[in-house]
Amino acid sequence: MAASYVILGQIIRSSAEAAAFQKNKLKELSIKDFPFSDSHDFIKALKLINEEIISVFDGFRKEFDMLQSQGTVDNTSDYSELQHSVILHTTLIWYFNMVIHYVEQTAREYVSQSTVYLVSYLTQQFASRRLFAWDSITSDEAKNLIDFFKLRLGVQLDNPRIEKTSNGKAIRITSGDNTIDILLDDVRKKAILLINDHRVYEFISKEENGKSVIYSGNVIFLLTPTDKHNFEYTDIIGSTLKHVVQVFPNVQKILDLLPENVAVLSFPDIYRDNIVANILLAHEVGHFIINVRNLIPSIFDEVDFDEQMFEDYVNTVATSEVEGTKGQKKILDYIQAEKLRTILKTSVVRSIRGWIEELLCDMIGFKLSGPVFVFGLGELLLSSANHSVATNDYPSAAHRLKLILSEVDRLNFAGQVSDHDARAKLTRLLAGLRSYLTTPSPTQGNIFDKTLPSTFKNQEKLFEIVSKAVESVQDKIKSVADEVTEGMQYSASTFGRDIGILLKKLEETIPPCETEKGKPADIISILNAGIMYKMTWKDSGKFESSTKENIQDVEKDINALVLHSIEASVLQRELLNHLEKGK
Amino acid sequence: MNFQVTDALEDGFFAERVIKTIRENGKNDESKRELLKLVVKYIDKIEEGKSRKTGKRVSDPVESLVAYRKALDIIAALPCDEEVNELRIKQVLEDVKKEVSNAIKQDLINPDNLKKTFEYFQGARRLAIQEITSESMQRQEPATWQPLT
Repeated sequence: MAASYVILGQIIRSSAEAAAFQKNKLKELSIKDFPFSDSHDFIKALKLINEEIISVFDGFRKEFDMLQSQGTVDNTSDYSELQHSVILHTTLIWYFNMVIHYVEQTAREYVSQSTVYLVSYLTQQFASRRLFAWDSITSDEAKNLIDFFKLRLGVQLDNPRIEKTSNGKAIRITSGDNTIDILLDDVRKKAILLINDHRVYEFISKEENGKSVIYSGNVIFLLTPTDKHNFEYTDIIGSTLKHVVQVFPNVQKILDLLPENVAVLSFPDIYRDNIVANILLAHEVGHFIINVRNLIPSIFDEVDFDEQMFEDYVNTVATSEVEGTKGQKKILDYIQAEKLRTILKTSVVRSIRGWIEELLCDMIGFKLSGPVFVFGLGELLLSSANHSVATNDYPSAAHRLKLILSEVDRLNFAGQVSDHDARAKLTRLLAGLRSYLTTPSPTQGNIFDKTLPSTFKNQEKLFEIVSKAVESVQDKIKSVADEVTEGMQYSASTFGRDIGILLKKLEETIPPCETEKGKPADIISILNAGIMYKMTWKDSGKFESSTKENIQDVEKDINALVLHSIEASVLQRELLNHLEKGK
Repeated sequence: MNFQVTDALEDGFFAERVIKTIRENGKNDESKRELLKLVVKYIDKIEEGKSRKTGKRVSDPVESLVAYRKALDIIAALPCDEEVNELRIKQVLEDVKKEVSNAIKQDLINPDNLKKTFEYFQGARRLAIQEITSESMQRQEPATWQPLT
């Protein structure tokens, strides 16, 4: 009884805390804190969901008060039921506050503008959904638009009338008492949506074959540096809000108003202004694409899993003598044996799936960004771990890098480089990486999964099973990466055309933002040139001092030069677009 | 962010929804029909995990294996004099599926005809709460691998 009061007391505190959090913290958040639009929808939705959870909790509190006043608290089964509900809801309130706090922190972190441009570029094809062509709305497109109003904005339009103004710059939809205007803003590449004169949404306007096509943004990306030496992708809606939906039916209505995904892409704080950090976000974008397109099952279905090898291993473990509290014993109990077997299979299957996902993300990252990806990934992985060591979550660095190197060769990146010096540099860098990866690394024992019970000995066997299974789908991984990045790939021909020009500019300490006068460079070409220069500048012989501090200073300046060049290239391209439109 | 807790919460709230729905008694409505179908799917997933096959399958292989592992814990803790063996596990899952399939056919939820289902989901909720409140779930980041040298 006393313990239950404590539980309830915690909830009341959590409830009060949640309300205070919502009131004080959320109102401090402003839209300008976010690098991408639509985040105000997300904050609004979080606030509404929070209210919903708290109101349900208040219902429990009233029920508890009633049981207490009736004096039936101790001996009713209802009380025990209530207690279980109370624990679940307390955890949910705590958890939900953590999500809000996480989003708030994420939104407040400083991220360089070049990183925002890069992620925006990498995700442009995946982060929006085509709604209609501005000049000629087909009947299917009109239906898409009406569905958008219903699902995303909660506005039901019956028998809508769609009209366009004579200058072609505004569309008006009328239905009953509702008047909806969509105003095209050519210069800012947006279309502003007004419902009954209130601005409620901004569409994205893209130019396709000289005509404006309207897209709705269906993802919010939040970029954040963290104190961990790791890059991460987190799907806030899928991972954290899906369980809320089944308990609170009203939450689904709120989620319908949101973009389909809220993706947090985080990277190590120490790489905040580093070329490496910027390009490895392409790997995290890969996780996002895999998640929204559900790409793993189709690959997993083709895995050649060696059931016999697995069964042999499990039988060896199950029948071997293991240490128990009263000396040596064998696993004979059915439930115990069955549980161990299932835990082991879960661990192996999870690893196969995890390895496939990591390799696919690498491949997507490479397809989107070219050779810079293999150098960036190499710098991250080889600076922190033994290259031949795999874990249950990740294939070894050698495995990952060799797979990308095989694609660099197949697509003939080096052969396409027209500039002789640049080609020689790329060939030398690739050869150096290959040679390093084939050098045996110091012996180090692998532990497959440290969460497995100590009874699972000889875990090397598990690596063998996982490696064999993943190897059976490596070609499939490459073809899936090809498919999903179609139309977005950074080609060997673009690399070959640009890299020599931009490298020369860097060698002359000229910002590599143009390939020729008045022509902004491709931002991925800038990154490729930047990382190649960063890896080769010491060979030029121009720089005599080699103290650690001096080298660090130079590398910091190279990073800044490259990242500002990305910004300059994007801004120049936008300015040229504006001038072109003004003609 | 600790996302471990979300799975346990999802299981716990699902079990809670089943328990409350059975207690409510009476004629089915759209949401109850949908829930009963979800319970059948849930048992199918456990049975898939039990078969431990890889390759083409209905649900996610990791999810089905995890669901089966949890089912083992739930069944082992159910009040019963019999020995918990393969037959008993099979029997419990079949009983739940049979009760729920009948409730779908009759379009009626009668707690007297759903006793095994009720008992099973009470166990599922207990397990979820146990996981939520266990030491390993307490606001900790999942373990990460560190180089040994």
